[in-house]
Amino acid sequence: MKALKKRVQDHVEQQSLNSEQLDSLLSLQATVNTADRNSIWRSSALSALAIAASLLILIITFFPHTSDKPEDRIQAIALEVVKNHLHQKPLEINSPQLAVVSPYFERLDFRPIESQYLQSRQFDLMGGRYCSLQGIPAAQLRYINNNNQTQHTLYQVPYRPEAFDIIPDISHGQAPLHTFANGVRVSLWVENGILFALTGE
Amino acid sequence: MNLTAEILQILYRYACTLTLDQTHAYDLVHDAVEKYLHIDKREKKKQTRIEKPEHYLCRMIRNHYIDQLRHAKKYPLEDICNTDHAIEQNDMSQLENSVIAEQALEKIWPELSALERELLHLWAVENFTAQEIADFTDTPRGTILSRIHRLRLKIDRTVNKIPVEQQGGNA
Repeated sequence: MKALKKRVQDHVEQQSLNSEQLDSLLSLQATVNTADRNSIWRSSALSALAIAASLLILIITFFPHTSDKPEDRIQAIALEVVKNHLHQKPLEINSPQLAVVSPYFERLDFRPIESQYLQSRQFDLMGGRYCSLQGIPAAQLRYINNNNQTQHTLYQVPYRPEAFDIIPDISHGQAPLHTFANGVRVSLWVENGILFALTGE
Repeated sequence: MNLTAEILQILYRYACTLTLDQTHAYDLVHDAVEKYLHIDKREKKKQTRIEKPEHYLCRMIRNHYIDQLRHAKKYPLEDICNTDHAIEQNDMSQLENSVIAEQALEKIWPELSALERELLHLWAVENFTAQEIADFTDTPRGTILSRIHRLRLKIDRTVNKIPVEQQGGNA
């Protein structure tokens, strides 16, 4: 006969973790530490992602021409053109002759030119003003249709494919691109390295 | 605090006492250790620490095991609530004076309830007093004493073959 206490101690101590179980439990401590480090990394990564997303939103908001979709970029051009067309800001130079109006735009990298697309139309030049299209300095010319007295705004800006996407070049026999923005028809084409945007035709 | 192999063995033996199943015991220890490590890390960030981590972990194992039993509706709720005030004057000496034949404990051990095995474990292996067992298990001291009394009678009856009438107790 032996004391109950001693018997219980002996019985309980027969049980023990094997080395594999022991290793597994001991490694839990390292796993938790690693998980914590990963958690910190994830937090940092999420913060970086949030900053990147904010920057992206800012870029898209303030530089719409950087949109990746061609249709979006063309629509952005059309919207800007129509908005300025509807505002009808005062002309800075008034003349029916392009030879007089063109030299006024001396601050631009180009001089406004006649487009063959307009030659077949009964449009008379009224004058022009400085403006910009997608952040690029441009010439804004105003025409009046002799047939119905409606006014049209024509933008001319150096053509940059990276900024304006692919626009048909009528110098190569391509037809202008037509789209609508705010209910106003906009025609876009490239001619002699100049991008033209005509409203309300 | 780092958990040493020695602490892990203590936890495992305690879990074996409760469950009578080595796999179940290991799972309980694993769960408790995993939770403890996260809690311990939070405590360190707050610049506080867990007092007596071994006991804390044993309580985690116990609570988890009781939850499992309750889920399986096997937990003897009446045992916790039953306090026999008539035997409150008795103490651990009832067990201290008990003797048992070789192999007899192995025979009776599986027949004891989880709470009875736990009581023997805490008393014999951890050297807890009745009050310490009461504190550890969050059970009134009277209930612990009552449980000790019934446990001694049970051991005498089943192992040492002492008839009920000779025990004179209220088994």
